[in-house]
Amino acid sequence: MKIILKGGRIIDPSQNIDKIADLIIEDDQIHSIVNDIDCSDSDEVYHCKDLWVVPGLVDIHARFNEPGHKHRESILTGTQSAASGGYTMIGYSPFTTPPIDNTALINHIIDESASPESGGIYLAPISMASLGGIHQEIVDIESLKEIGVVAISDDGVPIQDPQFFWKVLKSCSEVNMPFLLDPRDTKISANGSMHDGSWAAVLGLKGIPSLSEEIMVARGCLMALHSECQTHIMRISTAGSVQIIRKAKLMGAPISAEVSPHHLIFTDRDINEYNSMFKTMPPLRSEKDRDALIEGLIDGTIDCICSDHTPYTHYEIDVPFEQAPFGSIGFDTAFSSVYTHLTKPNILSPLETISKLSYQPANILGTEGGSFMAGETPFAQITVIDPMKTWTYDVNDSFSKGKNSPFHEREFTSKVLLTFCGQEVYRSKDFDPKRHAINMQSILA
Amino acid sequence: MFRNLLGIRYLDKNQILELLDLTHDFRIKYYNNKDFPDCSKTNIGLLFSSNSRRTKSSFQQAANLVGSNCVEYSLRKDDELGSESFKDAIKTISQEFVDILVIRHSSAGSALYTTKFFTGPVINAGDGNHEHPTQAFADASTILHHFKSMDGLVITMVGDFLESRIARSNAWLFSKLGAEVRWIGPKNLLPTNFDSLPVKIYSNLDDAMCNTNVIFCLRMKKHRLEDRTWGSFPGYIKSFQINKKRLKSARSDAIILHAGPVNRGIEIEDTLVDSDVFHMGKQIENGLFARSASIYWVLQNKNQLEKSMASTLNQVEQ
Repeated sequence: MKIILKGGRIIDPSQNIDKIADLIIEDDQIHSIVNDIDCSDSDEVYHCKDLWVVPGLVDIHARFNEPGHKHRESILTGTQSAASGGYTMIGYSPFTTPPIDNTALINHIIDESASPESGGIYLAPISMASLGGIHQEIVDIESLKEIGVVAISDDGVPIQDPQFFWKVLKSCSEVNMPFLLDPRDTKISANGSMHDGSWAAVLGLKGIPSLSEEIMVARGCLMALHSECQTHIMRISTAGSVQIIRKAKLMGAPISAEVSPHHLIFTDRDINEYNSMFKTMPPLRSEKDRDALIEGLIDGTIDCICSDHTPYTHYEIDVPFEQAPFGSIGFDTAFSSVYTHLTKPNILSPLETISKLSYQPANILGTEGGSFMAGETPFAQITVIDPMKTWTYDVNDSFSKGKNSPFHEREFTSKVLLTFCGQEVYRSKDFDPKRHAINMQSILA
Repeated sequence: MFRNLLGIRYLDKNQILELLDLTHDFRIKYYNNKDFPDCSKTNIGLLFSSNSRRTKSSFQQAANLVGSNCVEYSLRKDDELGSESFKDAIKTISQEFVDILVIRHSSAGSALYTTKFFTGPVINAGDGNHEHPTQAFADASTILHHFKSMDGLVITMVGDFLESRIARSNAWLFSKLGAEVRWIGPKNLLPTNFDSLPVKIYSNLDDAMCNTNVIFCLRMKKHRLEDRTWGSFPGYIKSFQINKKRLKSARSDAIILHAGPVNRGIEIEDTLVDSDVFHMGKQIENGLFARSASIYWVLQNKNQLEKSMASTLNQVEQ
């Protein structure tokens, strides 16, 4: 089977390509990038003039809540939401109930990933660092690696004990396994519900100091340096964290870092009058922090952008602010929000944008993705985007069961039209087969 | 058309003056044996889901003054049936012919949240550490009784600001009426960042007391007695207790207010509590009039209120 994506703007940071060309897929694999190919012998042709054709987006970690809280998200609804946002590969967060910490649960995720339910989206398994997530016994990292675990993490239950943390990093380092760090001192952040800034003082809410993150980022950087464990710092939010990571990289610490779109766009002031859609962990910080995060993203201190997908149902968030859970969904809006606020105003180039959302996250996880290089990925992972399309996001239209998004009713420029995951193809309702498809009798019919 | 009373932060100067005039007016009526406006057809729901020492009974008494009927509600946590959500509790109360809902809740912003589901006016009787507007009217009314105008006054508040809704409501009210508001207390009990609050932060009590007209002591909460991670009581007394010697730094006609109840010998020297400069009794009394005024105010639209006030003042003058 031969599919051609014709005449699109092909952006592939792995090969430093940004040009108008044709992308050929043969037998579900990327075959080549060529100029103006004859389409007569192809089975399907997508006419991609004025569209971006990029490697499928990759998210280092996201919360699906399966097992434990399928009312918030299941693999089916999570992967549908991911595909609609252009994602083809997701690190599956172990922060579930019970936490994912053994081969049986990992195998379950691997099986689910291969099942038709997941729509071809590759769910890369991540294991909790300790059995039960209570940080007393380290999981069997070597065995977990053998069956396909791509990283170890303390997502959602940050390790506080420095000695235990040190042992985890050394164990990961021993088998060359990346560690995904949730940088939060839970004592310093205890009972807080928003950034410890001037707006928290007005609203009468207990603040979460920047210090609660920065002290753990600093500890993580130093421990990574000394243990030589590849450490990825998840969801940073403060100017201090950016500075610490910048210095640690200069010192040679084997670290990488990520930021979410909402921390690049919003501040604590957007909480306005107790709007729990803006209650995230880490919290939205000050304007100074937001500017430092953007600067860190531009100069490469921050390697990639995560969706920070953390779904909760409408009834769970429709409570007074202090009682609302932390988090927001992110698959649907990650690309469009980054494009609208950073790419369109030329803060990030198109190549940098795709690098932060696809190539870099795949690289950090050590997985095959984020590239159009032939043979680089086991199956074709491609996202096709209309960069001109303007639309207004309605969280109620999301495939996700989560209805918590700070982007609800926000206007975006750019929209994902197609997501290819091997044989599976997600088509947005904005995809117009009459305009974009040729030789596709099945679609046109 | 009705209004909510959710916080001083949301009110403009005219609205604040309206409520203070009404409070003053009700006090005059009470001491002249004049009738209060008739709110006898008004059912007031009192939903107090966190501890209240005095506010609840003050609202009950205030409702009596205007002839309203009170119904008490609570948020139950029943292990067998599961706890009803806050939202559903409010919707249920709405169906029971409650005209005004007075709410005390431990979460900041809960009074505002309540307005989404309650069909009538909502009065905030304390939402977490956010605001306690009726207490601010009681306090301001006490100050105005003594000084006639708030404009240009220096008001120094001392104590625990981290967990004080009264400090926030009063800071907004005093500053909106032209007073200078100073805050002083242990660093661990002050907000980290106060740039958006209308206050000046001081680190030395004698400096803060200079030219002060009103000293406002905040209560040291009970759990501070047990949780001593914020500092020590001997240290607090040494640096922040209001005593006769320190009072000399203030203006000679200065008065002392207290959010109550008093921890004698901690926030304030014991003998000062029984002296003439201590006005907490007046604050409690004005609390009744401020709450009666609030009940009346939330039910009125602006035109009705102006008419009614004009007729009341005529009555008193006659």
